[in-house]
Amino acid sequence: MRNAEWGSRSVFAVCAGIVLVAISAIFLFVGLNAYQTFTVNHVRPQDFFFGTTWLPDDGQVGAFVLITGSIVATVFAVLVSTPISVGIALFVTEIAPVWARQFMQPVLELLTGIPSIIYGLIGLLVLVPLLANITATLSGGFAPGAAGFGIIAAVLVLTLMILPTITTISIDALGSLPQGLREASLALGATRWQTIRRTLVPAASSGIFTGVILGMGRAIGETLAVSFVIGSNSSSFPIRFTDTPPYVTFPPTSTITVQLLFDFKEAVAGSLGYNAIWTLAFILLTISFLLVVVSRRVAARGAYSAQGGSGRTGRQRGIFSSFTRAVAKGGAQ
Amino acid sequence: MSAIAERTPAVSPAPEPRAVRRDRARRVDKVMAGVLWGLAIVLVGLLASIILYMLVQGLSVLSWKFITAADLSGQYVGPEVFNTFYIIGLALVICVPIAMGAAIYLVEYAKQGPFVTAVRFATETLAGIPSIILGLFGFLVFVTVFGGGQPLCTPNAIPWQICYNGFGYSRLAGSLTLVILNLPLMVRVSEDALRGVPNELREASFALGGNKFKTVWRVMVPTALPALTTGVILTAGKMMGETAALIFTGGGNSPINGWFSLNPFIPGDTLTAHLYFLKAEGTVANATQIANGTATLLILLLLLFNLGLRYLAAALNRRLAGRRA
Repeated sequence: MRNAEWGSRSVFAVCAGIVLVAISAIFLFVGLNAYQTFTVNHVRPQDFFFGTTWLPDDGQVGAFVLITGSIVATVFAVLVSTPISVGIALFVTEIAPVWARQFMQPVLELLTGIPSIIYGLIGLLVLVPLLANITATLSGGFAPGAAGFGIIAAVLVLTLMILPTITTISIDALGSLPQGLREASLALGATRWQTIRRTLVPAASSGIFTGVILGMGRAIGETLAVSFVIGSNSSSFPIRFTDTPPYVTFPPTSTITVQLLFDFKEAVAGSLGYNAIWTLAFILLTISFLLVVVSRRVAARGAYSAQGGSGRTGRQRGIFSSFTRAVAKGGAQ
Repeated sequence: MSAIAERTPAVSPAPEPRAVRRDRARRVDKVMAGVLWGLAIVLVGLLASIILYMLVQGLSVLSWKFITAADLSGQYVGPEVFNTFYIIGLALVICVPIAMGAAIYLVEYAKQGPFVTAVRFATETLAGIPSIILGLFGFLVFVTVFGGGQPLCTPNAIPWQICYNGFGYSRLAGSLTLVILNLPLMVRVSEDALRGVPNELREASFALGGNKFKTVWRVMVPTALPALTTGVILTAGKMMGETAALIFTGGGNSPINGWFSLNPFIPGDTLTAHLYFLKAEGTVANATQIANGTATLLILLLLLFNLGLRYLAAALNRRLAGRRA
């Protein structure tokens, strides 16, 4: 009997260990290949990180434009999306009557569930022509052929894509605040909005911030939706300033993920282009890893956590929260 | 708390009459409530218009033949529909037992320690890795290293390289990549389901002399089954929307003789991958039309999965656990 117990225990432990093996293998394989750009192809690190020409076939692998593109797209998407997301979270937890609250949950789940390629398609079919029209109107009837493609379209698509992530995590954070906070504030004579602004949002700020960081992670790793609308020009910065009107333009540009997508199939194993792609992938991997670490830190600092107890961090809560609530309603208690 | 309490009585140098401030606060409150309502309505409108737009674009293309038939010129998506469900099914068959095992270990067996901390951290990290990176990883491991006919299989190959006429771009490689991508979600879902089992049931099982394994197998898993089932469907829905991880692993079209076969070692593109190939390569006649039809089909499947999930969760709960939802 004891032996059987030990056997089943180790089978379950191995299952848990598989996750560990997978993550180590990913870092190992991507890392080993990434390293070769610098050891086998002798690219100088400063040329890789700060070079602005990405032409692997000509031996030039400067990834600065791509890294800039990824960061600019992510930062702006988060800046636009966060206020809207927090607003919708506040609507759901504080303002909405019960029917509206119940209605918003499937809305958010559907927004999460729409495949990213569909977002890309919509961006390509609706958003890009719209932006091209606006460009044409602003510049007096003339617009270059690639008008509409670029960082603005990418930011708008990403904004919508990360909105459900930030919103659901903010809803969790706001929903887990003790009811006493609201009551105390209202008892002091504060209006609903004063309560929200001065009490609830500050109290839930660490949870909201976790959501923002996870939204960043989703935005920087997003590939297909961005690839459809960014124009994939690996040699042009996302924003360009000029001395003559219109002073600032948003030409077609590219990001790390888009370049991974477009260059990988053509790259021959062992060539500079191939190794450089793995280096790009490793940069992305490192960024997403750091975001996970930061989100753990932030979540651990929160005063009111959604589910107390050990080992449950905001990140786990966040990604899977909408599900957890669906199950809580329909599934085991 | 104290910080909030100190900040609240904001004393301005020349205090306005109380009534003025109160009226303004009330007005601001009304306006902001309106703004929040507006945000929510705009969001709902946006979602509705996305779904409607996709439906209108491709509904004329959809027909039973379009969804089920297959031909060489690629005018129908029968093979893609088959591949989608096949690859998801295969991935679930591999993913669910592993995730269940891991969740059972974490919930029932593990004590807090370095191993558990490491597993949790690994799960979170894995959940945060962009799917394109998992696609590249899947290509490297499942397509190239385990793959057949690749130039890497040379006499001076690296020792751990397995050289057999294996999979290459294949449904199996795609499935395995999806498994890694969705393990964190599935582990999480299983964990939540198991943690939802009332403690009294476990105690009763132990009191009747059940050992740990029996308790897990006969009491916890059956009780958690409704939540597990909804979790599996949720994961399947996520898998259905995945593209970036499959482009470099699942490959393009299935060979003619393998369209509706169960062979996991042949290439196969899912609906999402098909959509990408149509847009990126576009060598098929009527590519735009077919892409629109495919996108509409995807949206319909998504609605089916999401709305079906709610209904199923309630129904299963009534049937299996004897509770009212």
